[in-house]
Amino acid sequence: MKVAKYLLIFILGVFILYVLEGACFRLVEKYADNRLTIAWGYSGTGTFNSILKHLPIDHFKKRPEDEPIDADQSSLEKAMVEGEYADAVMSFARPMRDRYEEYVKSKLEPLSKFEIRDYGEVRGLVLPGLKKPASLEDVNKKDARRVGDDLEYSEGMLLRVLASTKPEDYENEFAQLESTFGFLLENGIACLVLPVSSGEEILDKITYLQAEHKLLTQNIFAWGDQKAAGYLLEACRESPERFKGVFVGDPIGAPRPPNVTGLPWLTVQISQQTLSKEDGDLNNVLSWVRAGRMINSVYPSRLGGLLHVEDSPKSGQMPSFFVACLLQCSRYIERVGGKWPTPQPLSAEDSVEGITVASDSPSMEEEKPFDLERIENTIQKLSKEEEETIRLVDATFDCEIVKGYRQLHSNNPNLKQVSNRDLVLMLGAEFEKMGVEVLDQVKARDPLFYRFYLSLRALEDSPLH
Amino acid sequence: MYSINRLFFLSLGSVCFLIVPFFWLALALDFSALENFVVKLSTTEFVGYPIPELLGAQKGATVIDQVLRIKFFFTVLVVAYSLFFVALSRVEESRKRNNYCARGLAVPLFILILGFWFKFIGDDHIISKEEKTELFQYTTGCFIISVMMLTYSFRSVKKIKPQKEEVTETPKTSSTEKKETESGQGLVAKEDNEKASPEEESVDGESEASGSETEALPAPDALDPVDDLAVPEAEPAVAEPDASVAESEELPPPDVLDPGEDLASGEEDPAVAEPDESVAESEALPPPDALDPREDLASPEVEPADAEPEASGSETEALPAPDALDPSDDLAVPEVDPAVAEPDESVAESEALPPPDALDPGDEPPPLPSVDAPSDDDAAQSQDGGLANNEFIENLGSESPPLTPTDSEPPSS
Repeated sequence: MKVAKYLLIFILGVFILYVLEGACFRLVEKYADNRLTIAWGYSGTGTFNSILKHLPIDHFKKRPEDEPIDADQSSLEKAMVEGEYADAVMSFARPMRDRYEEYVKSKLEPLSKFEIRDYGEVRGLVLPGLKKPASLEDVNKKDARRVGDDLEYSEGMLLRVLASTKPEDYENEFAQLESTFGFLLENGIACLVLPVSSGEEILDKITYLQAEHKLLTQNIFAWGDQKAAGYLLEACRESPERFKGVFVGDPIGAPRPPNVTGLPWLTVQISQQTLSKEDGDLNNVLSWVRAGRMINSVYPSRLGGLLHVEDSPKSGQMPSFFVACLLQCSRYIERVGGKWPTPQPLSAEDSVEGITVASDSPSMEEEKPFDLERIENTIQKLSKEEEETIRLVDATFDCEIVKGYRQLHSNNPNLKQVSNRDLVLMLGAEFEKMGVEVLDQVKARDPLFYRFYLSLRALEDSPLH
Repeated sequence: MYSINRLFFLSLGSVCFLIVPFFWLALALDFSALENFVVKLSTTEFVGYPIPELLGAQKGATVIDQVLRIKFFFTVLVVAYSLFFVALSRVEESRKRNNYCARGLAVPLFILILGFWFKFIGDDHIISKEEKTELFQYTTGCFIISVMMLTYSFRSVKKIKPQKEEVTETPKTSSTEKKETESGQGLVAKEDNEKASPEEESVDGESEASGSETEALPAPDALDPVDDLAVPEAEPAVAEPDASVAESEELPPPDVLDPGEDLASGEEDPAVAEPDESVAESEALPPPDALDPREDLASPEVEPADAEPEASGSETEALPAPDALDPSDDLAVPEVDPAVAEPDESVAESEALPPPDALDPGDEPPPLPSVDAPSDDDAAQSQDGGLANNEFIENLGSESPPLTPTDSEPPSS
């Protein structure tokens, strides 16, 4: 009797602790973010926590492709499984979504402190008002006249794709999205409503924007519903490297995904009504979602492709699930910097095993639960990548100017062979040649670089060298 | 035997049980107000969840399904609780009954909160600020209520410690005794050892008279014979007159007292018991109206006791004014005796008392030399004086003739 009593108290205590921890995770944004960081590590360098991964917590929910395959599973069932997975893996974002919903509901005149500008054919771009001083590179690229001039930039740009070119539709859409834009602008994301009539038109406008305003359009996030979602997926299929995140709701006319890895992060929201139709679009959407997760990194391999089952909000604002994914993607980009994966064509083996290149509909039967060859190949790939990463990551003499220089010349393969030390010496010498004033400006901009340069130069000049 | 508590649970269970058919009947007969209420309930939200969803309905369920679910849930809940209440009424002890009732409310409430939180934590459910406040309020409220009720249901039984009670109840007892002495001043006193035994007996008698209800209650402090015996003030008061009135030792022995009568008499009023003795002693004496206890109360012999500072204040106020009473009536109906606080006790006393007509009205009261004693300034002296008067009268009882109703004033010294 006494043992039973103690056991009961113990069980009750465990339940209460579970509820308390769950309540904190559900309601406190900082705690949720911290738990994610502990579970997955930091973005870009993340690995699963060796202790926590044994616990049945949401972060470690198995991806649907890792689960044993049921050949008889219909698209609807697969979508439901995907939905459960997406809910579990994005559970850490619920406090933030609460905050967003509250903002949308209560904020009055959300765009009052933000500037809205027209850029040629693109009109109504709302800017977050972020500014940074121009660097030498910016001057060289003719983005700025002088070093130190203010340059407008953004953490990213959200394109709301509208499948209508009527001005009244545009006005309505813009009015409905003011609060969503306000929330994103406060997080450094520029916003734009883009009326288009095809996928190509989307690409044209993005190309134009990226050519004219690089700093504003470094990271493009695009969101479209139904027909516009179809256009968006077409554009993404054409040139996936243009996008960092794609958010589609109830897509109509979704094409098959491209045979590449390193796709932008894709989030799909499907209503129950659309789900019940169970047409070809759903199969393609499932393929897109799984293709989005085909990458060897913790965050994108978990969050790169999500399918969320929920009805779209009636008020016309952006669904909170999209907002959460967008901001998470933006944070990831901020952390990884230039290491964002570039789309690579899939190998034949990958094509066969993956669902992305399935003929017309993804046939899960072709997937093998255990394939020794595939595992060996994966291990080889991983070790290669790891070697490269080790070689490239140079923690010494890492400073803002060096980072910026590398980012600007990320296409130059030779630069990857140059160490930070040499780069500091080389750039410092160049600045010195340009004059003392320039060196002073550099000192003001990045004092760390200046100190590195001086110390390295002293070492170079010393007789012992 | 049914107590009110048990009856309450039984009737509550029965009423709850009766509600169910009336509920369904009302719905079947299209009682629109009830129907509207149920429909409104199906659209009501709790922390952003529609009520039917909390009861297990699917998100896309029709209103009819949701309403039906609410009806079934209500029925099951009411039936379950009605059975629970009826079962509670079967429990023997009222304490146990209350404990089970508290647990029966607290445990489901606690499980409901816990269940709700499990659902809320697991769901992809976004809530607003107001809903958060609502969640906090309901959780806190339910948690506090359930914890309090659980604590109540598991509270420990307080054991009555007689020693402690003695200490705390001594003043009460002393005041009771004072009252007794005051009220019984005009009546016969007894010797110490004789007093003790009737008191004990009378306690037993009262506990019998008070019936089963008193079993559940803590022992009434005034009725503790141990306390009464332990009161130190009473003894010197009784002892001193013994010494002063040595003649009384020669009086007829107390064997005339019927122990059975004493048992029936109220214990807190030895003065009331004393007439028995006097009556027994003066059985040969004629008519009753001669000895009037009220007159004794009103007599100057009593005054010293009344004059005691606040000791007798409020207690004496409760007593009816002696003047207002008709001495003849009093004699005829002893239960109206103002010296007796409780009517039941007085009834018991009256039953035990022998007919007062045994007293001889013809006998004249002898001079009262000891009455002067209370007129001393000392308060203790005055109280002792009161007791001395009792003893004196007790001594007097057997020999002296009773007072007649015509005596407007008591004999003075």
